[in-house]
Amino acid sequence: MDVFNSLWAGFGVALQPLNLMWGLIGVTLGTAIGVLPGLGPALTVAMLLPLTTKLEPTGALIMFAGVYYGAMFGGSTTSILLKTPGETASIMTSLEGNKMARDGRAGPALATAAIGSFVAGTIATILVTLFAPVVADLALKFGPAEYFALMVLAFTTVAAVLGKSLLRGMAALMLGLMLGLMGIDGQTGQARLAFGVPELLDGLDVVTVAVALFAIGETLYVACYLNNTTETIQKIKGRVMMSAEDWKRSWPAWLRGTAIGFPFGSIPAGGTEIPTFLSYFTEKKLSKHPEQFGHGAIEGVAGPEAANNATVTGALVPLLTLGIPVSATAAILLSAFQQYGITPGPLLFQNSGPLVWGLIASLYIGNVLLLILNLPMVGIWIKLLEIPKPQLYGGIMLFAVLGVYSLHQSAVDVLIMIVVGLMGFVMQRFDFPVTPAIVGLILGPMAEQQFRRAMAISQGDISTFMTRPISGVIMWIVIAILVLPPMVNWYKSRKAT
Amino acid sequence: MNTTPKPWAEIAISAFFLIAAGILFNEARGLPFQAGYSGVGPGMVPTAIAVGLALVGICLLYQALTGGFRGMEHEGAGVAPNVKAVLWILAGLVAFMLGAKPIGFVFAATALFACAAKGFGSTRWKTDIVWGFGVSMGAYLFFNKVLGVDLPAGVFKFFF
Repeated sequence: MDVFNSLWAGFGVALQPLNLMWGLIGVTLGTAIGVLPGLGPALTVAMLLPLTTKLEPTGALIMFAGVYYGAMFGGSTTSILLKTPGETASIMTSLEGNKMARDGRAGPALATAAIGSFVAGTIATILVTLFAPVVADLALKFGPAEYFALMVLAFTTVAAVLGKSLLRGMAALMLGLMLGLMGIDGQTGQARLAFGVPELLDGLDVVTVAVALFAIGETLYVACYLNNTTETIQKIKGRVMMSAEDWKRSWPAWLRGTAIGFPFGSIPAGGTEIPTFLSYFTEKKLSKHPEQFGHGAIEGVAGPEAANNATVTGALVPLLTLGIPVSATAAILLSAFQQYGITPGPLLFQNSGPLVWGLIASLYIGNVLLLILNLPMVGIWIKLLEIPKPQLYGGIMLFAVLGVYSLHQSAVDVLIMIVVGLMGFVMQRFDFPVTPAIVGLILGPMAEQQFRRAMAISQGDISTFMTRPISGVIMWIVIAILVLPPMVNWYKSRKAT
Repeated sequence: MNTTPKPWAEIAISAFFLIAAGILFNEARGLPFQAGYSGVGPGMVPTAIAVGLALVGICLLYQALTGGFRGMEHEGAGVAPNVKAVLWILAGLVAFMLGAKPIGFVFAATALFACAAKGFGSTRWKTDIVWGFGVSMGAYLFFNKVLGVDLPAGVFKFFF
């Protein structure tokens, strides 16, 4: 089989000592930042982007990918022991996990999260191995119209599905799209929204915007509203291993979590929140002990943790085969590829076979490393939680400006970061989701380019997006996502009255 | 539970989107709307986004004036905002922006670290400066010596 040969060769790449080392550094960093509240994977990869000038692409991307999925492993530790979820993906975990920790069952909670993450990550990686080449082959038939339609789908799902309000999601998306317009128009050389500032002619850097929205916005928000809350770190006491009963209750939840999480990652549907919520409520419904939910049910940790890992791994499928990122971190991974002049997409598997298969092989290895890092060595990570908030956030600010300033050593970049950071602060305060803004910023210009290409092929006939079969179907899905939920609500409310 | 925020903040946010729409629309007017085979000029997509911004702004304004943004949750609800903390952090960032070139990355970043820690309620500013200096020095050496990214040395020029 072709896939197995490629994967075998990929393992040859991933097991080279240097790449193995980058992978280990990546997953270790990923775990650390997953544990630390306030530092997310998007921010970390953004700060590591300057490394691309020094490292060869395979090693760097293996490391970045390690940070990306390693953060999901680490996030569970924080949500179980501290109750403050490190990432939005761990909100459900914290519900049951923290209760378990309070009852002295922190050990089994951490174990089911780590093993569940491993199981889900590995199964999802197998699915990526099998599906990615198929999707890539299919995508070879895609023209600009299909790409444009897919990007519109990504915009819609990211804006509509994330957060509690379609309107605020759309607002964040529009903001991102507008920021994406800044700079010189690639096809005509016209400057847009540059206001005569030479630094703006190159457009806004994704790193600057991501660091601003995630690090600066988040830090200001925490400083302004959440600094007074004291958190207690639960001690790990009692039995650390899972009992036979725990195993029996965990494994079906892991598998169901994987089954829910992977599709959500691999279709451009954005976000880990929905699959973790779905998994949690599925477990609650199927459980023989629904009364335990809310009081420390192990399924409530096992399912969502498996789901979020399957989702982030699944999100590599659209990223690698179509070049479409569906999360903020994936968007920054995409810009890491671009730094090397590599364009993720169907041709990636043909043009950069060793790189992409090395990357996929590194996922298998990374999952094993993460299991070791997160289970026997969990005690080390807990130490990170003891860093006092002032020094922790002082450090986050320092690394944030380091990431932005090292791009061009420009004070203008820092100013942009401060301004966008204030926007991020307001967005957090008024519950605007941040991811649509990042996805809009990075995908917007690509979508415009595909739109123009498609229009050039059809000689200015806009109906091409509806009449080409694949693009037409995608467009109808977009319309359904936008129109159906409000209609269902309207119908329900009419029935109720 | 949510405390109802003063509607003026929400009105200001809505106005921000409307103003952004206006700026973008004005920008797009100066660009050719149609061009080339595709019939899509550099002005077309900005116009579309400007329309989107305007629509979003109008809907937000409508919500702001009729009971506030819908279904809003935020963790800090009911907590008195700590404006001083925000100002300390902003002061640190501005100090870094202005200071990085003249006095060098290490000192500017140390100042930022200390200001941010102060904003988060740290009272031991001497320890913060030592920590900030240590971390920024490490980052500086790593970037300049290992990665070859030239962060400004500033006053350090005389030593290295």
